[in-house]
Amino acid sequence: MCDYPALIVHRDFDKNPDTIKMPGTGPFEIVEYEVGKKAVLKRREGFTWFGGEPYLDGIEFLDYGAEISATVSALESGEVDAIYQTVGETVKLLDDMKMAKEEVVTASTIVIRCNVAQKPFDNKDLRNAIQLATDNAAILKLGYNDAGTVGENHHVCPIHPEYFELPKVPRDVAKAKEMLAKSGIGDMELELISYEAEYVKNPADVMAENCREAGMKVKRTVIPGSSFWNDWTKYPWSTTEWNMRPLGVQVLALAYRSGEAWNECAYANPDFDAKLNAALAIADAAKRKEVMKDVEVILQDSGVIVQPFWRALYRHHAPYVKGLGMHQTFELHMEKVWLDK
Amino acid sequence: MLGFISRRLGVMALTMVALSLVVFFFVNLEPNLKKLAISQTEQRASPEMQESWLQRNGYRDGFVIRYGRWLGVIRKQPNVDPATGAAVPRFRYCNEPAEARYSGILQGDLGCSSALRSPVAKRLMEALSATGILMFWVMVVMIPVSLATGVLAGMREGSKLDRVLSFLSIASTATPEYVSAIIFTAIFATGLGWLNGSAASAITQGPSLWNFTLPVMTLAIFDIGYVARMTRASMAEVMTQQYIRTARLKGMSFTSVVMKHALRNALIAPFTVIMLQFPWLLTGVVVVETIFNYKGFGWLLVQAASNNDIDLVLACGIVSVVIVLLTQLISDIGYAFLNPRIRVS
Repeated sequence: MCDYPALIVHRDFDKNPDTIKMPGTGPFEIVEYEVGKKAVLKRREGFTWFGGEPYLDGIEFLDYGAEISATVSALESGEVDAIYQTVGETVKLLDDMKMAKEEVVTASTIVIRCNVAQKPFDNKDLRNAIQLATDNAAILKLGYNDAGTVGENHHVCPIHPEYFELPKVPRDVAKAKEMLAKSGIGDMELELISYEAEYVKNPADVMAENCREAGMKVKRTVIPGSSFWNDWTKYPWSTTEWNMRPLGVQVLALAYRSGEAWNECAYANPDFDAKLNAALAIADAAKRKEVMKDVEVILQDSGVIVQPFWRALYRHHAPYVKGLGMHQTFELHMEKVWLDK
Repeated sequence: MLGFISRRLGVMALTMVALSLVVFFFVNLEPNLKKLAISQTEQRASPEMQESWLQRNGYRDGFVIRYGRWLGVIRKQPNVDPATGAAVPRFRYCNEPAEARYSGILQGDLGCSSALRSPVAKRLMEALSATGILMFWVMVVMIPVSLATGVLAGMREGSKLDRVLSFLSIASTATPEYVSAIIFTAIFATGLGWLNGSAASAITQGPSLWNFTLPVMTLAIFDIGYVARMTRASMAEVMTQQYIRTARLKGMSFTSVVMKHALRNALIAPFTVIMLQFPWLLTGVVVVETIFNYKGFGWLLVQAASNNDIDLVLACGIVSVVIVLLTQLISDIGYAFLNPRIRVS
């Protein structure tokens, strides 16, 4: 399984229960670590880092928990200089508070997917009707505060090197109604499940409304995050989030190839598998791009996912913090950060 | 008296056993164990690996055996390394020895927090002392203000002063903490910038007016209304008594009637109410500590529950029982002291 870039740790990592005493080669070392409270990093003494001299003497990471008001207050009162990530409506709030914003577009996304092993979503006409009824731009705007770019229902992002641009498919309610009639599901009620997090709950609400406009009967169900993940690959019609991988083929291989553990759509298409495997074997991104056209078309046409948007990531910090960016996969590059106080 | 106290302590022990059994049962339900396994394997493991994690760490042993281990009447077993067959500590981050031993709550070992990766006892002590400081300041603010409000309102029932104070107390009690906390933060932290909407620095740098006023105010104001209402009712009732009228007819001034005759009798009921506020505050701190990021007992409880951190949930439950029953005991004994007509027996 190809996944996130791994960190290389010292060979004794598993033997030593104390993370703090771990040898390392970075510009900073951990001197204090308490889960749920804080981690304190200090510049390594008597050590020349291969990347040059870091500017900061040390960094303190404080855990403010999930309650965003405490985090906002901490930034406002100067208790902290920067926060790890800003999500949802807090982005605008902190903008208004004249905090500096860092932004990066990512290939992280949410999908609202059909599980083709479950009735009635084995019906391709129904799946295509759902896709046509859904307005991805509206979901981005109403369900995610416009914090990202519109997705194209094939889970390959324009920032991926092998992205092949397909013609845009606009929302078409009339055609969706036609497909719905063709699917022959009649008056059946469809249940759209999501977990509680705002960034999937709100998009799913918008999408349910979209589908109702095209004549579907949609029921929304929200399951607490703590129990949702026990069965996340089994729900007939539900939401998930996918974090980005550096290459477009990586998520496709994890999520849509036949029989994969995380194939939540139960999607199995030998044709797709063959094309994707071919793409995975091509090292040169430009050449891979040619194969990706078919891969993207097959996935988009199958209708298993509505992938409404690509998430942008934000971070806010006090204006005097310099050199602190936001990274697609949350890497922190503190060595270039300095304070202009 | 001694019999009364020992009986109450017996009840306390019994309640603890019952509660710990109930909590133990719930945290060990299958979905909760699964959640624990998922979080402990960093959301990356397959169902088989989660199952083997549960097996290896003893979560698949019988209910009675595991409860016995937690209690300290059955030996806790170390894990066995499948590769070498050697015994290894269960949770290495808690410095547990790699040997079978009696080490449960009876031996004073509260176990290891799987979510916070440290011994429960350490985190619990830190959290309790933090919440203790918070409660102390809440009481310092709440008791004088609420008693004064209640006495002023109750000494002349139906007067303008009474109406105004009663209205204010009802309004403050009717506003739950999660509402008032947000309103106060919006006004005093974001709007005026006078106070800090985060109490995190109260733990690292010590409490000050700047970082501690908002949480104390939020908790105290909710309670002030309630205690003031109780004091008012008690005061109003005392003021209608025969002996108050007699004292007035005798020619004593209103002030000295209130100070010398009414106050002492009127304050018996509020005393009990104030003691009963401790358990009530325990629920309040959950909300307030979360909103203001003050890492005390309420915060710990949320962490324990949301991570299904078995040892931590149990320890928090036990502490809650002690606090609730102990304050009740104190209020019963104190009641008898204040009112000689009542005997505890």
